Amino acid sequence: MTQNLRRPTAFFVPSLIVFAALAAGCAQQSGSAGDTAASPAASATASGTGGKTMALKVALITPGKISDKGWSQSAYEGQQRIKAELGAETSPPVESPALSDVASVFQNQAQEGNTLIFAHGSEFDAAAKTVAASVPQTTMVVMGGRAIAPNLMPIQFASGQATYLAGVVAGGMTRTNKIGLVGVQKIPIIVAAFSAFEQGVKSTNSEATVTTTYVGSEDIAKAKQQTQALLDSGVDVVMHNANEGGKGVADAVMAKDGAMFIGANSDQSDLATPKNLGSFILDVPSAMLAVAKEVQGGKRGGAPYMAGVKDKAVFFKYNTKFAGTISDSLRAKVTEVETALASGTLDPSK
Amino acid sequence: MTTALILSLVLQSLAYAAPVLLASLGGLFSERVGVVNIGLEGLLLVGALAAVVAATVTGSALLGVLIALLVGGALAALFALFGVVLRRDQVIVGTTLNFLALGLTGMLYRAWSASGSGGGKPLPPLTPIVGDGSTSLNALTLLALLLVPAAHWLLFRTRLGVILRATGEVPEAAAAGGTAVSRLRVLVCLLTGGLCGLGGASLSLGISSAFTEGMTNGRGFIALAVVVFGRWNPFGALAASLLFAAADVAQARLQTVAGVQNWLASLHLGDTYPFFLALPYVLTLVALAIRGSKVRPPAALGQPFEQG
Repeated sequence: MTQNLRRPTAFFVPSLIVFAALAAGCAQQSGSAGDTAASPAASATASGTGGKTMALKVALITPGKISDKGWSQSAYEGQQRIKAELGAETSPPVESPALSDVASVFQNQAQEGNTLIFAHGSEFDAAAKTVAASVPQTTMVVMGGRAIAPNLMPIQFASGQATYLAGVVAGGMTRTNKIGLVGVQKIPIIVAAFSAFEQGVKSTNSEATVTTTYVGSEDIAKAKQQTQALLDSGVDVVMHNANEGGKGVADAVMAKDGAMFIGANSDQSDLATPKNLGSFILDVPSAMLAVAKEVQGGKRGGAPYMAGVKDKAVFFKYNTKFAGTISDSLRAKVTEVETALASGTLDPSK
Repeated sequence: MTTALILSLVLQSLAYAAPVLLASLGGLFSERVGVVNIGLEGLLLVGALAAVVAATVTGSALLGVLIALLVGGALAALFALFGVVLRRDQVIVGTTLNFLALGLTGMLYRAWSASGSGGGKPLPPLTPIVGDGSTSLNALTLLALLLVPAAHWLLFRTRLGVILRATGEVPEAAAAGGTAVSRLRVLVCLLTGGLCGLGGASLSLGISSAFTEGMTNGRGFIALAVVVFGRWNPFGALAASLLFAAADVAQARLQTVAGVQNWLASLHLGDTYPFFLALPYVLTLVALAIRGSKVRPPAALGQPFEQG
């Protein structure tokens, strides 16, 4: 009896597991269906740099989900822009791989014929450095990385220039002279961005204090909780650098009278409007497109691509739906700082 | 400490405990009838998505909550089919459920977002019964709290409670007494799914006003630990989930106090933030270590039963 009951069902559990794995796989790729449609003819003619051009096939590794309305999504948009403007082929993005798997992901992407791999975060730097020599046909680009090899180059965003501008706005807007920061992890790129923000605050408002907090993950409920703690301590302007957690930050700001929000990394005007002052923007697609053009023109690595205010790759974007008023004098100050940042007379990283 | 601060700490702790508490009550009922359901995390996640989608589409937070309850129950029916009716290994079925939920919610959420059917329409908020911001109490938090004494009464003061507990301790005796063990276990699995669906709704509608992929972030596993730590008792589960939530709320507050930051920095232990972030887990470990060892799990936990 027992055997009869069990035998016909023996394959159900394994098949359920397979179905689950398939569903998980689909989620990884659903955002990029059809990316592999090839258009090699276009890529041969698209480069404006002259001389010998190479066909591009562009792969991408992101630390988070490409639907996060932030950091990882911007890299996906960059990949799509390279496809649209340079006619490159693309491979489906690999989202949030375990760090221990990254090296083999790079190897696979190189074997699949990708000529350009974007790794969208400094956490991928070590793996890229290890793999670079073994995939000489492929150019590897690590966002925010440091390692350099003949076929490996980092894109370094002067994100501090953008957060400095955000700090100028925050310092000018705060009424309580208390400003809060919510970060995801205390990693160098975020620490540097927050430090420049604080300098920007002090440049307009020497009495304001900045409280820095970290959530430890992208958990939106915890980010909201952390923001509530800041707001309850008297903070009235909160800027985040918490990726998905930014939604929780925005939610807490919405529920608090007089609170204001500054978005991170991309245009987040859909969050916390009308209490949203604007977002500091690292224009990832612009920077990736610029690098792809360089690679198409024959550059392989050796030196970092520096993206800053001068390239219009980082800036502060006002939210047009902000309910309050950002005074003309504050806007003028922001423009003035922008000019100083572009010319190099002001450098928040020093 | 002012009254306002204490009130805000208490209400915030209750709000953040609610998802874990609801899931742990579900897990508690399952384990009391002898079913191990590792899939609480997946059930929570599915509930969180169902609540957001249903509330946006219907324009009603209440309907969102009800549909989350039903969808949680429906996914739990899958668990019951394999784990109870077909008597597969419950740990494996539960683990599979978690992967299924993670993949499925990610796929469906993206498809839904991309289709634009959710775009434009605002998510109706689960309006707090009292207060706003960090000093508010919503209906799901209140429901979670009321369910604690109700569950306790059901388990320990009613005839049905005796049958439930007997099913988890000595299913043979329950069966001899006329209980259809498998049918009862299936029904309790559905109840677990429904409670987790509510828990998911309390996370996505009650706290976050949004869904993000993997947003449960381990709360289902914390709920499993809460069941054990709470000694398979609803009031124990309440205490355990509140302890964890309160520790988390406290560390978030401590991060905003300059004096605490400066004091930690003066100890020269290096980076101070890991101390804050680890606090809830360290407290939970300490509490687990000092709790009594007299308690044992239901005797027939995880064992398949075939009605003679």
